[in-house]
Amino acid sequence: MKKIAAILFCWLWAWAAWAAPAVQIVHSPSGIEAWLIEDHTLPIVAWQFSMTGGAGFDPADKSGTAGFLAAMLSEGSGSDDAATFAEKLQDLAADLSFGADDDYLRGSLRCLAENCPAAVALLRQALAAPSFAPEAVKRVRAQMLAAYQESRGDPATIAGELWNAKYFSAHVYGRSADQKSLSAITTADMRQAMEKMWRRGQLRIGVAGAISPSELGPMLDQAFGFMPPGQTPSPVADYTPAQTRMVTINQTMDVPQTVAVFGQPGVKRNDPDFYPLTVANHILGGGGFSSRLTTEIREKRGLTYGIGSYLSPRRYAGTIQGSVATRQDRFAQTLQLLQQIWRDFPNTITPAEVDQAKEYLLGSFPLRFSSTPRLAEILMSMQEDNLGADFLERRNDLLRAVDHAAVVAAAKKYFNPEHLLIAIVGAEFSSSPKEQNDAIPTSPTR
Amino acid sequence: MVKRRTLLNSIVYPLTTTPHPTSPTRGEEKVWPHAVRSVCIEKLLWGMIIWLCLLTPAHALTIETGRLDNGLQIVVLPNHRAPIVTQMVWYRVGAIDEPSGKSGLSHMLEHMMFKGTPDVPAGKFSETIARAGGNENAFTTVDFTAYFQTIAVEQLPLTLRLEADRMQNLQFDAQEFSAERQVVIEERKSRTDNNPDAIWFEEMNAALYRNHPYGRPIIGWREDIENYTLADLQNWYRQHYGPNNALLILAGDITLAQARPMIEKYFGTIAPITAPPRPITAEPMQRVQRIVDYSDARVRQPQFLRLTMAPSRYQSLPGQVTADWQASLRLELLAQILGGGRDGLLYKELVERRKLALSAGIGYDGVKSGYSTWSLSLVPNGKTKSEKLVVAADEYLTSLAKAPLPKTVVERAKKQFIASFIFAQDSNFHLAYVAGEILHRYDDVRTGLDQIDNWDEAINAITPAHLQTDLQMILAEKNTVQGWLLPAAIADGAIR
Repeated sequence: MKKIAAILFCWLWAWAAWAAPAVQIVHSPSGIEAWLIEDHTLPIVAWQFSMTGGAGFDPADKSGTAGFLAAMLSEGSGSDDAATFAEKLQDLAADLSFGADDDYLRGSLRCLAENCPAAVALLRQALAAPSFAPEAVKRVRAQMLAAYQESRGDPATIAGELWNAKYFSAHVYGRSADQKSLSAITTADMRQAMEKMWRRGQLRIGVAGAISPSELGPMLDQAFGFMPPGQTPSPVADYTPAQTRMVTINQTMDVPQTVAVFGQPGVKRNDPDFYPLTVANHILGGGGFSSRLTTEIREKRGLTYGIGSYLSPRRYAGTIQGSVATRQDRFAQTLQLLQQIWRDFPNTITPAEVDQAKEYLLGSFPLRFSSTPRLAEILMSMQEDNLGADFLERRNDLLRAVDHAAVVAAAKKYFNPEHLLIAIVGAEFSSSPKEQNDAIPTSPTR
Repeated sequence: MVKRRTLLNSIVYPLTTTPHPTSPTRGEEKVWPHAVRSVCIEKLLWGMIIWLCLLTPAHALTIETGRLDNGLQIVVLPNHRAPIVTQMVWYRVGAIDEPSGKSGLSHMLEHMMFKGTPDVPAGKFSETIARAGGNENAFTTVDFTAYFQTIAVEQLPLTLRLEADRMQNLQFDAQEFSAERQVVIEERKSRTDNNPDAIWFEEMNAALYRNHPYGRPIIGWREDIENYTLADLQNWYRQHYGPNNALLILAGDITLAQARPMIEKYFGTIAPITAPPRPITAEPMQRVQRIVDYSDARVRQPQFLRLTMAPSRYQSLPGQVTADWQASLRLELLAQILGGGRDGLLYKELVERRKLALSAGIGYDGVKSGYSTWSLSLVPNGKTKSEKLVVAADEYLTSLAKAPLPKTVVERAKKQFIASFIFAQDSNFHLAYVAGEILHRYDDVRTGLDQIDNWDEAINAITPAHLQTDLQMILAEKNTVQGWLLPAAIADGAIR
């Protein structure tokens, strides 16, 4: 292994030479801002943009409104029905798609550089003038209901929903779309969601590829210039859970493998503890095959195919979460190990583990810039998280500054098995303390 | 979030992988299905040839190929956009090579490849790559097993050394094996047993291929996984893992001239092996109708699937077109036109116009050593199985086969195919994957370059009349299996 160490050493020096891609801030003639990484290697342009709000604006009894709206944006607009709109995109060999989560409604466009102006015209049409043709609304609703129904048989989906509902309670993060809410959503609801989200102040735009700032500027106006200025205040507030004792919730389901989703309070993206906690989590469960959870539970004991943990820093709450799927008869053992590892972790972190985690997190940073759409997506997230346009240059310094003491301190502050909420779907599981779940009566229970 | 349903996502051929656990930042990369292209130009010293493809003068794709004396094939795809490189080692062994009773052995060996050598003990491989800032994983399919790392280009000597080491020095520890066998059993549960779609597909595929090894699941039947011996794995490794049964691909900030001395250094001393010839199995002509219906309490939405044996690039049934890569590209284009998601003609007819279905699609992948499978998948607009929908789909396809497809529709799809080549170049991983999937099959990779060099010409040469003939061939094929996936309570078709 000495040889490897020598190579590593040389490489760390070489690493200093890596330069982050240059981020340009572009303003349209009317003042719409986008962040751009210009790269003419291939004749490809990618746009990724988001509008704050997402499911946060969903009426309480109409979860899924933002997702429904996102789906409808591709289902016909202007004078084009769904099929004609799709054909126009095909003729340009452009990909345009929309999606929504609890915090944002997002769009993604990928096109050949020569077709970019025409593709942007279609993007504007989709955003500014969706048709909501009754026939299309009916079709999409049926598809979403079918997807919902199918997901009732998936223990991982059910476990995730149980966890969210218990941890986040009535907060938007705790809600999930269901048969009833999807059936209740109307075109008027979707138009209202548009009204709230289609504001310049809510836009975050990342663009990458073969396009210059002077070409991009006018296109931004073309795509988004119709939106009114300002922003709609969010009805969503920060969330910290009231309960901090360990709880397991269990829903039985006749499946050969039990699935558990676990988690506890964490940090938001702008928290000063974010980087120390990132390193800590990498050591515990984020580092793939080298992490403690994988080593102990998969590699040494063969109890699972996959176990891991990750930081989930969302707009209104931060959590540390993870999941595991394991055989019924060894589930109790797996859970016990998980809790034990979680408990021992803060007091057993070694300086070598911290160095090792930092080596990966520093060295792998450039691997994230793997494609043009990925670059655009990174630019969009940097704006969503208020990281600053120079973040790519600063990021590795922020991480380098994290030392062993800081990682241990963060781990002690956050990792606490007494705060773990564990949602289990599959075999009946008995240990105390626990609660039988009765939150989702429509789920398959046998 | 509830997402819109897509076309039976789980019912494509899965890459059987050992992904990292649930960490969201280290997901497996997806691979675009379409090919790469280049135009050959220039010859170089020491038997090495450079293919230079000029898509447009400003966007050249270069494919460099070489070969070591011990038979190791090398393909380099230089891309100097960022100082990183993706390394892949492809072995010509997969489910197709496995004897009856040993299904999944190639995949089990893929797992064991992370269990150490005398120099790099178990766990150290992944740890070393991680400390060097690299991502790595592996995948097994019906035809091949491949290992990859993406890493800063300065670290290439490290990844070359580690792959060369485990190509020749893998150790087989009984305790590691016994724990890893449990991991694979859990993997099988996660992928298949916990998922009614996957159980149904596995059974249907097994009914389609009763003689050909493609009827066995890549991950293996549970009974076989439980019965492997350590000697099975050792033998499988000795028989199939060697330089002359492998292809090394480098995609990224590197050229063959730069890489060759390093490759020589680490791989050059490995002795060649005598790999067994790859089996060529003919599937008997089907004489009896095969229906595979499956009811499961976890299912809420019925689905229909029909699998039809179709020509691949290398194997076809009597009565079908001769298997070659141009024929298989035509079928890929046809599948895209008819059933490529919401842009497909079937979706427009059955979902949008007649409102009989929630989704309708066709799947086909021709890059297979054995036969390919043409799949028609339908989700009825309702809670019960709908023979009316199946009849409507069949009638529609039959009506389409009566005349050439509309020229505008064909041209639109061709344009998209050509664009997909440019998009594929956007990622080192994708480019290495599409090149490797074609090229690893050849003792001399240059034999396969035609499929990349003349790819766009082959697409441009396709006419609506060709596609009409191909569709007639598919519709006439008798080697098919079909069935319904149903909720347990309505297995008899009655409404719950």
